[in-house]
Amino acid sequence: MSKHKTNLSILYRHINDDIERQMSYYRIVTFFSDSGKIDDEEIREIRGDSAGEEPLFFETKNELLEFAYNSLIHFRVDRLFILAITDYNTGIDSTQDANGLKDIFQRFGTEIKLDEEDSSGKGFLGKFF
Amino acid sequence: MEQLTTPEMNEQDVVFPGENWFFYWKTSPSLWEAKLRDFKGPSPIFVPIYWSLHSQYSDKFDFGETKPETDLSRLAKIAGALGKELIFFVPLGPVPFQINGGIPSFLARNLAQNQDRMALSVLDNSERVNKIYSFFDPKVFQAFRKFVFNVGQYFSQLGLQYPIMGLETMRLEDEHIVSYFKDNSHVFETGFSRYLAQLEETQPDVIDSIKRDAEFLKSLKDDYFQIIRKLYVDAARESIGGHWKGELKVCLLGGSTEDIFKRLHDNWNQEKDYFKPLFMSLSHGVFPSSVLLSHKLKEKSLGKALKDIVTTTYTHSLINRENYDDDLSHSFSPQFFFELFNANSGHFNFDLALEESGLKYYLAKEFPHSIKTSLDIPKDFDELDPRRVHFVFGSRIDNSNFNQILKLFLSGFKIFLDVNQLNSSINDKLEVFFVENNIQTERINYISPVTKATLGDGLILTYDSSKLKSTSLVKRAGFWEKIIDYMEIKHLNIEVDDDVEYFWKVRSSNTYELNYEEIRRVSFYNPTSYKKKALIKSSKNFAFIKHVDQLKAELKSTPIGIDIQLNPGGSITLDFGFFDI
Repeated sequence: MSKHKTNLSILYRHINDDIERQMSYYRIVTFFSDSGKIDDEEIREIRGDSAGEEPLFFETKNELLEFAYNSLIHFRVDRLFILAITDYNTGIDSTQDANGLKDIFQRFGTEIKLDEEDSSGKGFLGKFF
Repeated sequence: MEQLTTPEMNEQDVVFPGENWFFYWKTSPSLWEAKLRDFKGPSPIFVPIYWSLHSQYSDKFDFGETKPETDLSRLAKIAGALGKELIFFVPLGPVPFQINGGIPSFLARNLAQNQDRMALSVLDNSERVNKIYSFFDPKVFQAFRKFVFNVGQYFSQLGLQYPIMGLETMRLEDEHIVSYFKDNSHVFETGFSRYLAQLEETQPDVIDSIKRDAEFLKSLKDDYFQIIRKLYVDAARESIGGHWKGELKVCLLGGSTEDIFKRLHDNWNQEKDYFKPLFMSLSHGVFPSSVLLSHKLKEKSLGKALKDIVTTTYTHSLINRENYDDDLSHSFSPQFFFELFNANSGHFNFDLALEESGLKYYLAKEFPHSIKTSLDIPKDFDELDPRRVHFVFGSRIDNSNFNQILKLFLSGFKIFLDVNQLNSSINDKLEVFFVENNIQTERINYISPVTKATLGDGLILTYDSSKLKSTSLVKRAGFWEKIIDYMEIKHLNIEVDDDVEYFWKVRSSNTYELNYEEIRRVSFYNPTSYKKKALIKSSKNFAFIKHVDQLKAELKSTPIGIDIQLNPGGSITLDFGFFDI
């Protein structure tokens, strides 16, 4: 069972100018919690068979959002924030200090929340862990 | 008793935020004298000239006429009276420890972006977000020319007898030291498109090549970056004239993209993480600086390591290379057994070359922090250490530096040449050189074809990394173990617990130490909250001389070697005499 993590945040980039791949895709630039970066192996574990050779790459935004949702279950948390680099760049423009930077994901990102059913599942596990 | 609250930075830490950096704009000019007098760090003191402070509006420059804190002449006179050596720096790109990267606010229009197109910014030591703006904006360059011209005029008109250097700031991204000047913003892309259009006129096949080869595109972007960077360097050098003393590259610890998130979280922001950029800076000949990091993070092992490494001797070695060997050979300097030459212009991925050959894995395991990366093969071989193994890569070799390699060999240097992607005509020339000069060669085939050519102390050993690449990491490491064993590098073997950091330095022996060829110094640091151990295994070529700077550490001699116990935050330094028997 994975450790409970708090304040999960995902920063991603939509790439549509990759000469080698000749296709657009989404890539996680960084995925972290209060206690540090989530490493590629853990991301691979969350993605399971869909991870392929490059666990940080997603063909569609839906796949990325699905991964974000599965991360909630994996880490037993209620919500996380996901932010595109373009929105990060907008946010940083008006950010002056560490507190402002901490808020960027909440202010400019999208909140992903567990739905009722999964929440109750988590509650059940919470009795034991 | 342990403090329960975060200690506030005292004013000396604000003005001297790390090493020998003096931020004159952070205090009143009336306090400059007291601050400089109290400073006990390495010399010379570095004074980065804050562009924005001296030029808030276009075409208007203030050097003490309006605001007293811009009076650099006053600062210079105070330092002179106190006998403190100063070096002033003009920016050659963004300066992340200054607001807006140092540029005046009227120029702060286009945020620079990293390779992920993420806006560049850093957290400074007071947790302020400093945004970095693109130096590829033509308006920034035009204003920069005026600024450096005015700095040059100011220094010469007032007869200020202090050197001025160009400052280029860097950061560690993954495994690479990257300049803050490098940028992927739309301003860069616009300029690069113009550059491509020019290239297309003279070399129409360029665009086709880009479509086929992403590495080629990277290489062209790197060329364009170098062209623009050179414009800034030339403008500064020409404007500053006789005061100009070259460039200094500085790597800012805590300035990577990941650091900006890491430093928001106390649980994530660990002291031990900053040893890597510190050691990487040394191996790349880049001056490490902790000015972005909080004073609190530097209270224990990291602060001690910085003091041990960034000394006056080390500082002089980077700013005054030509006098380094004569004046400072009796002081400790970082020890490197291996030197890698980039040896050519354009994009080259050192890391990939090392990783594919298995060399990176082997050296990190057996000789950590012992590699020096250099740009060019120097014209003057006196700058090179003949005891080192010098690595050169086939794809970087042309006729001109090939002749330089042969001269190195004939002068008794040891060269490892990766023949992967070596031009076939140069390969033929090498063979002809061996035959015509009756050079003794031995050839074996062990994973890769290996040729060993010797002449006196000189050695050329060729290998083919493309053959190594296709084997397992264990086999590649085995290859290097055999090859490096042959070099008979005499060094003490060290075993350490995870997260214990150590670093070697070396100096010549003095008249009281004639039993030894040189003195090697190793310093251990425990940046964790746990007790840790280290073991230095005995060797017939080394004699333990003494230990110094013992802090929260114990050591014990055993039949195997020296056992060291490091308590949390502990550190210790040991000196060994080396004699070749």
